[in-house]
Order: sequence, then C-alpha cells, then structure tokens
Amino acid sequence: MGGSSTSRALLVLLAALAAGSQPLRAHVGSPDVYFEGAAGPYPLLVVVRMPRVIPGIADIELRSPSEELRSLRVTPVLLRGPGSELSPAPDTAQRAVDERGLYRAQLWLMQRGAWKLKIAADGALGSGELAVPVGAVSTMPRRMTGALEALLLLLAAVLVGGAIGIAGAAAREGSLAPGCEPTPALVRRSRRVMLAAAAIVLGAVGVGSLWWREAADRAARAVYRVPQLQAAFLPPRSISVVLAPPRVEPWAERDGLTGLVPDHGHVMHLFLVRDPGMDVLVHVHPTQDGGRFVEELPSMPGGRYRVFADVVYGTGFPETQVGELALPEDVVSGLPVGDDSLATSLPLVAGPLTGDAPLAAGARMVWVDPPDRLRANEPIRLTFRVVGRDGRLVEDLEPYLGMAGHLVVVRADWKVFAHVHPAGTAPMAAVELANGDRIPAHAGHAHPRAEITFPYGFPQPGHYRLFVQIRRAGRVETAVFDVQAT
Amino acid sequence: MQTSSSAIGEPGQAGRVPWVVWAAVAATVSVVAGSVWDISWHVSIGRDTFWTPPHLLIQLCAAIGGLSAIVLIAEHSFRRGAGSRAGSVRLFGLRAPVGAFLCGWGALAMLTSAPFDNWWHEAYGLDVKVVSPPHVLLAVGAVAIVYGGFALAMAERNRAAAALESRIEGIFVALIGVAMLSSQAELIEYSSKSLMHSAIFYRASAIPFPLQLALVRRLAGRRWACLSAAAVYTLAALAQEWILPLFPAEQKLGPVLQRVPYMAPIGFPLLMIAPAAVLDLAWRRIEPLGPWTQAAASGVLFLAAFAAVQWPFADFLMTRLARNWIFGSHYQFYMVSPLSPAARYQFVAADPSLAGFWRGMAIAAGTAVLTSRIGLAIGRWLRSVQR
Repeated sequence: MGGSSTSRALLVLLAALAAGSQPLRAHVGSPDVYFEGAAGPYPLLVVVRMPRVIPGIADIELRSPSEELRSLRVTPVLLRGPGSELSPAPDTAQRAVDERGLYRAQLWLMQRGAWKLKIAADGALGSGELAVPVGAVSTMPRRMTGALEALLLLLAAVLVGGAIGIAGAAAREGSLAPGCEPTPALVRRSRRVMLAAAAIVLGAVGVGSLWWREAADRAARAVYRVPQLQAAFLPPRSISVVLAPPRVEPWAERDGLTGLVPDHGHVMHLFLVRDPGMDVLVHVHPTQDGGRFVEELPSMPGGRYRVFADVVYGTGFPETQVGELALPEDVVSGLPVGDDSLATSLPLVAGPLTGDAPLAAGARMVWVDPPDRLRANEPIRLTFRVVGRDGRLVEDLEPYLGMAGHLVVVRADWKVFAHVHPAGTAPMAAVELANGDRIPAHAGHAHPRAEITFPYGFPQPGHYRLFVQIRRAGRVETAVFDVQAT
Repeated sequence: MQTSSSAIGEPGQAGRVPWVVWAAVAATVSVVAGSVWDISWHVSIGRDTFWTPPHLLIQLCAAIGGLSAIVLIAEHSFRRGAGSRAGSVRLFGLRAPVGAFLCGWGALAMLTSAPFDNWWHEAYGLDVKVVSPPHVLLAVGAVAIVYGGFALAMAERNRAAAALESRIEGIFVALIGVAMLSSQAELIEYSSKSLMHSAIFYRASAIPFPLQLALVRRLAGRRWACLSAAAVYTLAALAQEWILPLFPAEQKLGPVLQRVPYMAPIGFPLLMIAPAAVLDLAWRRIEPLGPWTQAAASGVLFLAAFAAVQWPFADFLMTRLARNWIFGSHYQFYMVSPLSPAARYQFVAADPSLAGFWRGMAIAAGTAVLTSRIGLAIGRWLRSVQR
C-alpha cells in the first residue's frame, strides 16, 4: 500500500536527479542558515536548522556571550506580502542546560517562500531586535521505514479483516433474539454480506492508496530543485547567462519570483569555478540586457567551468542557479575591474592547501585556530587574518561589496556551494529587506579590521575548498584553503 | 453484580438505563465536543500539540470505546455458562455484542491513526487541511465507536420493556442531535455564509444531515423524532457559538492575516429544524413506501425544505443585524484575508453559471437521496439488532 507509492515518489526524484538537477536548497546543498549580528546591545550567533519539508518545524539555536541577556523571543513572519504585517505570538527561547549562553526554540514555517525570523532580546542592557531572513523550501520527503511500515500494514490487515468479520457476525447473529442459533439461510446471508463488506472495505483501501500516492506525488513535485541556468561563451571574451524562467513553481506557494533585488549594487553575483581542479575562481557581476545577463570576462584560462549565479528575488527569497560553461581556449582580455575578481591556485589533485595563503605585496592570510576535527553541521566561526611581512595585521583592507570579506565554500564533488558573509549565509539584500532601517553593523568603514570571521557549518562530510576574498589597494585578492569535514 | 448487558435474555433491569448507553453518550459527547473545540483551536490559535484539551477529549472517546469493548468481550467470551453466549455474536473465536466489536475496531483505528499521522507530517508537512488519510482514519474510527455505542444501546432498547425502551430511544435521539453538530464541524470548509447561495454548500450539507435524519426517523417510534434531534443539534450549536468566543485566544501560527483575540466558533446552527419538521410530518405518508421511494422522498424533501429556509436566512446573516454575539456573523478566522468575500459579508458566486448552479443542486438532491437511503438502512439495522 504505502511502500509502493513512496517508491514511486522516490523514482520521480531519482529521475529528476538523473536529469541533472539536485533536490537541494538555495545556496546548493547548504540548507541551514548561519547568521551573526546583534539584537541591540547583545551579540548573537543564530543557527537555523531547516526542516526537510515545508510546512514544518525549524529548530533555532541562539548563542550569545552576553551575561546581561535575560530573554530571547522569536517569531517567524513572512518577509513580504500579506501575512508580513501581523505577527503570531512570539515563542520564548529556552536556555539550554548543556551549553552556556545557548538558547533554543522551535519555529513553525507553514508556507514555502521567504520568511524573516524576528528575534527580540531583553536584559539588563535594555532591549534589542534582529531579523534573520530565511528561505523555506521542501527537500526529499522521507520514506517510511521498515518497522513502521510493517506495523501499519499489520494493523491495516487487522482492521480490514475485522471490518469484514464484524459485518458477517452482525448479519449472521446480530438480529437474532438471545439464545437462538443462526439458521442456514442467515449463514448464507452473512456470507453475502461479508463479500459486499470486503468489496467496500478493499475499495476504500484502494481509494485511500490512490489518495496517498497523489499526496506523495504532490510532495515530490514540491521539492525544491536547484534551477539550471544557461551559460554561453560569446567570443571573443564575453559570457551570457539566462536564468531559469521565473514561472510559478510547484515548490513555491506564490508568484513573486520576478523582479530581482540588487545586492550591493549588483543584481547577480556570478561565480565560475574550473572543473575539476577548482584551480580557477572568477567572480563577476553581469548586467541585465533584456532577458539575459552579459559580462565581459577577465583574462582567464580555458576549460570547463561550473557556473553559480546568486540572485535575490523581490520577495526576499535568495536563490543560487547552477550551470556549466565550456571555454574552448584561454580568454584574452584585461584584468578584472571594479568588483570583479579572478583567482588561481593549485588544483585539488595537487593535495590539500593547508597553511597560510600568500597575498600580494608579501602579505598572507592566516586561518586562525583551524579546528583539528571539523564536524559536519556543527556551527563554527571561521576566522582569518590578513598579516603583513612583519606578522601584524595589515591596515589597508578596503570594503569589498560593502563588507570586510567574502567566503565561497565549494565541496569537491560540487554538491555544496555556499557564499558566506561576515554576517552569515543570508544575502545582504534579504537581510536589508528583513531588518528595514536597522541594518546590522557591517563594514562601512574606510578600512575594515583585517581579522574577518564567518559563521558557518559544513552541511555534509567531505572535502571542501574555501575561497576568501578581500580587497586591498583597489584590487580583489583571494586566499584558498582546503578542509576536510567529517 | 450483573450489569444489564450481561443479563442476557432478560429485559433490562426495571427502569435502569444500562451502563453501555451511558458509555455511548460519553463517547459521542466527548468526540463531538473535542472535534468542535479542536477546529476552533486551529482557526484561532493555529498551533497545537498531541496533548491539547480538545485532543484529550477525542482520545477519551477512543479510551471509552476501547475499554468498553475489552470489558464486554472479556465478559462474554470468558464467562462460563450459557447466559453469556446468548446475547452476543461470534467473531474470530471471541464473543461480544456487535456494538462491542465495532467499538473495539474503532478504538484500534483511532490508535493506528496516531503513528500514521505523525509520519504523514514528517513526510509531507504539517497539515493545512482538515482532510488527510490519517485524519480520515481517525474520523472513521470515531464514527465506528459512536455507531458501536448506538448498536449497544439499541440492542438493550430492542430487548427492553416499554418504559426503558422509550428512555433509551430518547437518549439516542439526543445523541443523533449531538452527532449533527460534528457534521457541521466537518463541513467547515464548505459552510461559510458566503457560500450559502452556491450549490457547493447544499451539496456538502446533503452528505451527513439527510443520513442522520433518515436514521433517526427510521429507528425511533416517536412522532417528532427528527425535530427532537434537530432541536438538540440547534441547542448544542448555539452553545458553542455563544460560549467559545468568551475565551481569549492568541494566534501562535503565521501567516496571520487578521488579529482574532477570541476562540472563533464554527458558525450559527444550520436551520436543520425545518427539514426535520417536514420529515416528521411527512413520515406517515412515506413510511408505507418501499425503501428507495422513502429515500427519494426524504432526500428531496430535505433539500427543498433546507434550501427554502437557509437561503433567505443567509441574506439575514449578511446584514448588520446579525453581527452580534447571538448570530455571530462578525466572527473571523485569522488565516482568512480581511479582503476576502467572507470577511466582507459578501456572497461568493461559486457556480460558473445558472445552469451550473442547477446542475449542482441536482447533484445535491441526488446525494441527499443516496445518503437518506443509507441512513434508512442503518436505522433499520439498528432497529433489529438484539446482540
């Protein structure tokens, strides 16, 4: 009954997988949200563990070193549109007993789309608010496990047999006066009744099974699939990108997947990473030209590239679309200009890049206190320092796209791609939409401090390559590190 | 001490209503009250756990059904002596009154729905709708317990002396009235007053109510059986309409489209009084006919009488005069947009055309005939059950 319908749902998904799209979420394979900011005077590190299916319950972990913090209340609200003005009653986060400064709460996300989690903090230093934008989508529906399936099938058999038996017993003896025995005619009648009951009950089971299958299919269709963009090389040195069309997807609750919101002045952040070595990273910002995005590439080596396009829709929903690009030969062009950047490093096969990463003018980037064992899904603050020849922090760091640095995380098998800021995994456009005027502090200074921290959690075990991008002396520089998560 | 149900072969002890009848009353009232309260909870607060008070009431129904079944099956299967065998039916080697097996089946179905529902939420998401396969299994189980209770009560009544028979019948008629309240609750998605000028409302109403009225009419001997049941239903519906909003509520589940600071009731009672009275009046003419003719007459009369009163009453419900605590037209559900027709006291033209409307009403009439036939059949069976 149930097993075959869930198998069918799985087949639909496997077909989708085979077609090249992956049933993963925005940011590609990195579903949980990590965010670092402050609610008024209280610094907060927020981790949101998203549920596998929406409507569902998300677990939120709030960490604050502040001793003066007394209470944290969280409320999920739609980011835009009807339902974004009124809030349900807030939930008070519970202090964890196993870790100091950790608070936990559960959030009910009833609709797929863009949400903001409003966090209200209260304590001796007063009160403060922070809003974390979150994109809610469904991933693979769960398959019914063996033990539960067996139990339900057994109970179903008992119920079906029982129903038929009760009908027969009622027909045979139910209307007899107490003390009488059933006549042969009654026994025959009861057999006919049992046949009719069997037909009705099994018919009901059949209808129920079809209904279950339909629900499973609907859930499978509602699974978020990373959209495929179309990337093409326009000789001699340009690239064009066409996003997957913003039709009303079954995974989305609404229309509104139109109208892109610029993130630090750029509607699209495009990343090209060479396949398979990950030895070239190109980060450019194509401009919209009609229905497509075009950009002139910097001088870069030829080869196969994986393409990742980060956009934010008008509803506040962030999305990463993926694609591929083949450059038949090296591109001859200029140096990257403005916010664009190009980085080269050793390919993956040459061995993991540990230790300090060299930068221009004798400087280097140091990963501060890399953990010996990196566990998947454990929140971690990745801290990097830019130091000069003398080992001291450099003082000429410039804001890059409005912040001290950017981190790009790619897993060796391409199943994870994340673009992380010092504030966390949420794109700044969504953060601005969520927080309105109260944008959490981010680098607007002339010279940000050369120690940068990114909150993150590696979603799956595996080999990851990290690209940390900063700007110095008008040029974007990239440091590359490799790490293994278990 | 022997309870009436095990003193088989003898009429129920003089004047004392057997315990199974009270168990049936308790099970029916708890599941109906629990269902109505649960719907109000979901449209006012939004969020619940397994152990909220309305859920506990529904679970109480399962407990009463299951325990009654176990007690009766144990008594009748394992007591020595001929007396125990006589008033029971045999099923898979066990003996008990038919109603006991129905109650046990219903309790098992309700129990099975719990892990099933849990898995369904994890696989396909928390429910936004009332109707899903696990919820249907729960409802079917509850109905089995309620009708199992009816069968136990009727077995007593059909063997009882006249005075007791009349008392049990009276209790049963009242229980049908209570069950009609749960019908209104189950139809909540189709019984908004905005839909009362559309065929879909009548098609939906034609499913549970004709069945219940036909059932009580076929089973009870008293002259005003349907009207009594409808009167009990009306009182129960008024009670929830007047009492629930006295309690405050806070929305705990987004998206919230309207602020609703009270527990929203499920709606002013549908005017079942009218078709019930018509059915009682016409029964003397209808009763001598064959069952399908009885059903045809009952079904058509039900729809005509109901539409004739509910349609103009819906007009009244849309006016300012109805926006008070008595008629409750001003109550809202938090997930309904303030711009929707329901919130703005407007009718929705749910039918594509006039022809579509009449086609829908014809389907409603056909449905009423069909469900009346089923109700008559159940009523006839309950009339005949002795064990």
